[in-house]
Amino acid sequence: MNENIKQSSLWIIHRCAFPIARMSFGILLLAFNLFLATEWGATAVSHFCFKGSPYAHKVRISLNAALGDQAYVWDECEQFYFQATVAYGMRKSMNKPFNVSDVHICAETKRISFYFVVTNSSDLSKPLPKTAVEEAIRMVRPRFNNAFSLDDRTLEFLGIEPTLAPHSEPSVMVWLIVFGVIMGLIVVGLIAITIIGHRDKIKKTRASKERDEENEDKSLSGIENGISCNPLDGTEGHKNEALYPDDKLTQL
Amino acid sequence: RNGESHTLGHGDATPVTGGGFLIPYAIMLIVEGLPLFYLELTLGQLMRKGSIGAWKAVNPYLVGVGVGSMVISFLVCVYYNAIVSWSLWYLFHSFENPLPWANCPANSNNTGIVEECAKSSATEYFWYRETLNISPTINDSGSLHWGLILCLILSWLIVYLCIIRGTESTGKVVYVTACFPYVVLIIFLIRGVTLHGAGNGLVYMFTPKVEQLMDPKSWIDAATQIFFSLGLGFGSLIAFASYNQKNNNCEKQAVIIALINSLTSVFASVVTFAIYGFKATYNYERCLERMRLLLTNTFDLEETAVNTETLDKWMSFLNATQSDKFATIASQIETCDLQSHLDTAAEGTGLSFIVFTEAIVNMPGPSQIWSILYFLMLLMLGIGSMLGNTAGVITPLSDIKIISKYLPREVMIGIVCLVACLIGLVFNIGSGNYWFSIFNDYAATLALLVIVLIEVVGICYIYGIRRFRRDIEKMIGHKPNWYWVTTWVFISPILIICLVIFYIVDYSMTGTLTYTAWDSTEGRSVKLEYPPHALAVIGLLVAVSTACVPLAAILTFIKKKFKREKY
Repeated sequence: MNENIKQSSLWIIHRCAFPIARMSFGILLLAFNLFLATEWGATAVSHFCFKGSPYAHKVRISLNAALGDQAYVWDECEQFYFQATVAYGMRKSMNKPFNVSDVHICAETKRISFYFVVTNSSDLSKPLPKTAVEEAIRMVRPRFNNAFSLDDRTLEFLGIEPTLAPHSEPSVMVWLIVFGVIMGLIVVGLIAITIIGHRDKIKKTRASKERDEENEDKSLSGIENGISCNPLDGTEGHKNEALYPDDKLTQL
Repeated sequence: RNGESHTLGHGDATPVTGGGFLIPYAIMLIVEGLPLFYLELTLGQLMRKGSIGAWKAVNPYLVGVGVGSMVISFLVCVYYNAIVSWSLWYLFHSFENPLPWANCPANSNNTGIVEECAKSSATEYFWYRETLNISPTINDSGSLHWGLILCLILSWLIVYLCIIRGTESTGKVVYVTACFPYVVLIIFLIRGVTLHGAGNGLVYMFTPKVEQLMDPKSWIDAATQIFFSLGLGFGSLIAFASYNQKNNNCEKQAVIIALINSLTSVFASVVTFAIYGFKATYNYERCLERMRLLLTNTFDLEETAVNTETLDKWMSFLNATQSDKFATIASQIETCDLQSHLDTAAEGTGLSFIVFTEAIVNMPGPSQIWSILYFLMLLMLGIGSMLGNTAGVITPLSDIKIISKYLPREVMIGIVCLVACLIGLVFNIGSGNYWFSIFNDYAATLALLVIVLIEVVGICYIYGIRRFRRDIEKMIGHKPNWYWVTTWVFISPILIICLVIFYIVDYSMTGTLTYTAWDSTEGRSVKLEYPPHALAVIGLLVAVSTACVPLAAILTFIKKKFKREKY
């Protein structure tokens, strides 16, 4: 009887427990695989998101320099916002449905600097090349800066230089205009002075010529040896005192 | 009257290198400047002629002194107007918004800034590239700079306009050119001393440096500075004084004008050093900020961790703990030192343009207004100096009867201006600034010392100090007192002889003459040696004015002998 129970229990174990064990083993294996998969996904990302990775860009944020006292704290929410903005940029540039989860951030420091990688949404293991990311960031850079109330200097993407505003050439005109104005004034002044000087000279020569003519009328040939005589005017006579002295003295 | 002499000299009298120049300056003024100034004014008032005629009257063999003065004045005319043209160029560009020297221009494909500008600074780039378009050495002639040529022509037209009517109109112009700079200086003084860091500059200016007092070069510089700012030896003082009344009290006039001139120089230096102090402090703080940023970014420290006080501690800490990482940035580490920034402040005319434009750009407030005011002031001072220099050329020329008989005065002035302008075109080619430095450093330094020495010796020993004192008594009523006589007869000649000897010894000890060239690939200045043809020009410049004295004496001797033999 004992023999029978032993044999039947063995048979039960054989028939029932094994599949149960196999099933649980299978479940365990599946779970392990899944676990491995996520872990491998995570390590897969850490494969290409690290310092010096050919796919990662370094971002440096200087909140203090930009906002001073009104600087916000850089926490997870801000990080999420960053990822969302990058995803937005990728969407805009490549027209593919990127998600926040496609942007991976690693190697964060107290400086507020980190590296980020963008992966293809369909395939976690394929990070996008740097050039594609650069193009996207360049395209939406102003919006990016505004999103965080920062500018090109305080939100730095190392390796992506901001394009400078084109050099304004019309500045050449301004200085020429001022030059022209002052040159014109000086030339006008010179011409005015020359004309006035000329006119003064003509007036002077005319005045001195008139004075010379008047002197000639008066003096006739009266300049000899440099002594000019004033001849009799001819209208009035001059009394010669010697011939007609005062009567007072000779009266007796 | 006051204005004439103070603007006669080197109007943009940038102070001598370094602070502590006040002591040599003051001593040179009392011992040399005042007595020689009085001497020249008296001579002009006595003889009532320009420098050639005056010296002919002193002694026919000394007419060369007058000719030498005239030659020096002419050489200074030629190169000094370049400074006026630069002031005009900067003045015109000050009307632009933003100021063209505030930012570096972008390179051709807009990816970054022009390399030369990135290596130096925006103001240096504007000066060396856009204003001068300077070539690497004095041998490379480079091309003509049309903008500056236009400014040069304009500056000569302005000078011509001011002197064409003679001293009556020149006098009125001088009132404007003398008063306006005072107004601007006062404005800049108020602005300057309220700037952050101005105090550093003022402290630097007033602390005497013992090594500098021992160096004879600083005494030579102080003497040359006094000569230039008072206009001694150029003949312009004699020219202006010749229009004085016969019994004008030139003693009082000399003392007043010289003192006002020097006080103005000191006043201008105070303003200048306040602004230099601001600029040096600004650069120093920017250097500290750069270092702070470098450490924070390289080691990814928290943003507020490193500040300017703890910078040194952090540097040594990081060097000790992460020395290999520290080694990677070791080439970019600079030691920020305020003193070194102050020391490199003031040297040479070009540097004063660079330094001041940099300070103006960083001054709070509308930069255009500051810039326009400053360059208008430079313009006024420059034109004032040009009026004095041209008077030193034109008055003696109009005394020569041959010229005044055949040429009307306006035409003669026009010819002088035209010749000077044409020669001045040399300074507008690529290597022009190097030639300008040659003229600036050698045309009127050694030759001036020699000419002034001969002047003093000529009056005191050849004309006779007793005769001179009697002439002065006839003019102003009393004889000059012992201070004047001692300085004329003993102190000034000995001092000038010492200076000349130091100068020559200094040159022969250093062996070769060097100049600072601009290296555009590195973005900094380098010292190069003068090539032989430049050395020849230097020798020519010094010789052409000093040789007038012996040559004229020989000519007079020959003429006299010829006349004696005739009869």
